[in-house]
Amino acid sequence: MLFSKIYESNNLLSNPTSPEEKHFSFESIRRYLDISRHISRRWPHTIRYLESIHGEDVLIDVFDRFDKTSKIYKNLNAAACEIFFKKINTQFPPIDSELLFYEDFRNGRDKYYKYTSVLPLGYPHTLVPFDLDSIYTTLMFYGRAHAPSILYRNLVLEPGKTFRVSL
Amino acid sequence: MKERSIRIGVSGDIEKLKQFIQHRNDINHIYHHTPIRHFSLGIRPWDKIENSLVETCLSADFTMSAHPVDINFSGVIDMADLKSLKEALATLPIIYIEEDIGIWRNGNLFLGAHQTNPPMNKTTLKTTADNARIINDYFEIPIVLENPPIYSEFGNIEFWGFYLELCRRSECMMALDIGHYLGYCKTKGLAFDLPCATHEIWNLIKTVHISGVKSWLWNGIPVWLDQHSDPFNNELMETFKNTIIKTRKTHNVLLEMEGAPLEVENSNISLIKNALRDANKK
Repeated sequence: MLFSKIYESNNLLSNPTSPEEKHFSFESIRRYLDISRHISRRWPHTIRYLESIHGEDVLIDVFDRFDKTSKIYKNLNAAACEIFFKKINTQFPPIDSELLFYEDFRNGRDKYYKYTSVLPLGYPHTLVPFDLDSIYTTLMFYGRAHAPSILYRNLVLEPGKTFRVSL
Repeated sequence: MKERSIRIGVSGDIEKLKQFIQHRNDINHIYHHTPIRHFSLGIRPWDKIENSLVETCLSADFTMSAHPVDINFSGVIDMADLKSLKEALATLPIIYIEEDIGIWRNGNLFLGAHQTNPPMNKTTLKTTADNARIINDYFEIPIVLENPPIYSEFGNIEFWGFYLELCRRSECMMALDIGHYLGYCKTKGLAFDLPCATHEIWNLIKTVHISGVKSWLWNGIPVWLDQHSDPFNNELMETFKNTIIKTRKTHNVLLEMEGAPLEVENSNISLIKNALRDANKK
């Protein structure tokens, strides 16, 4: 069916020649960009880091087979962001998804967690062995200037002790 | 020539409907002195409308249509959603329901900007017409079928032939969206031609929709995007003028301007008002 063909990553990577193929390619690209826009708006600084470290596939993979993977979500924003988060959370080191959680927190979006450097006795929590505040400040510092990928790739993630506390 | 009274309408959600009612009562507002006499309500299956707003609509001197965005005319229909929509619309004085054909929902997902046009061929013509008849019977409110935005299309039936046959088989009228039609022409590399004045389709267009579009060249082909907040450009207005002198049973011209700044809205309304006045002189 045509609908599922739209969400094939080949459409982004091919070099169409006929006008019909180009229009079909535009249709796919338009939708890929829309999916990327939802993710980039939610995590503007972390996305640059993740793309630099893991390559452009981190976004292209969300687009690929989106017709199938998005069906359970209510809207495009939830589908794009949750499919992306799930991929990062299951395929990459824990610090990557911790940075996504942290960016949500810094943007006032996450109401489920708070962060502290002091052991939160009596509260369910996760120890993140990094200085998230320093790392995220660097990502903002880079992101606002649109730093080149090499700076992200060379970034030393500051070790530390940050507790993500469930509210 | 007998002067036709085609209404000018605007569209929006429940909040916009409330503003619309306020603005129509404001003697300094363009909605009052144009006047705007139709409102197309964007509605989702779970929307609830307050009784006081319903009362106002029932006694108002403007007409109303509804534009849901959850009906898969060219795919699988969700009857539970239709039931909720019917309940949401039951109390309002809706004279017809207008909806783009194609696919609006993929499972639970509302496709929004990923709404997908059907390829115009025999199979989709049959599916869309069959579904439209079912939905028409279910709502007991006339259904008006809109041509959706088209960015890519691989069918083998030309535009006007497809919609004429769709209207005949479904016994529905059409909402002709000028911007979507221009987009279709760009996508297929066609001139912005319209059928001759005696073509039967002109008896079947209930409403003409117009909204801003962005178009440009991309990799050597003309591409476009629906951009409701943009001013109406010359391309749109010329096609609109050539359309409106041919339509014979059109109830309203719907200006879809969600997100447009006030000055753009005012300028668009003036353009349409003047074009309708000129059409009446011909």
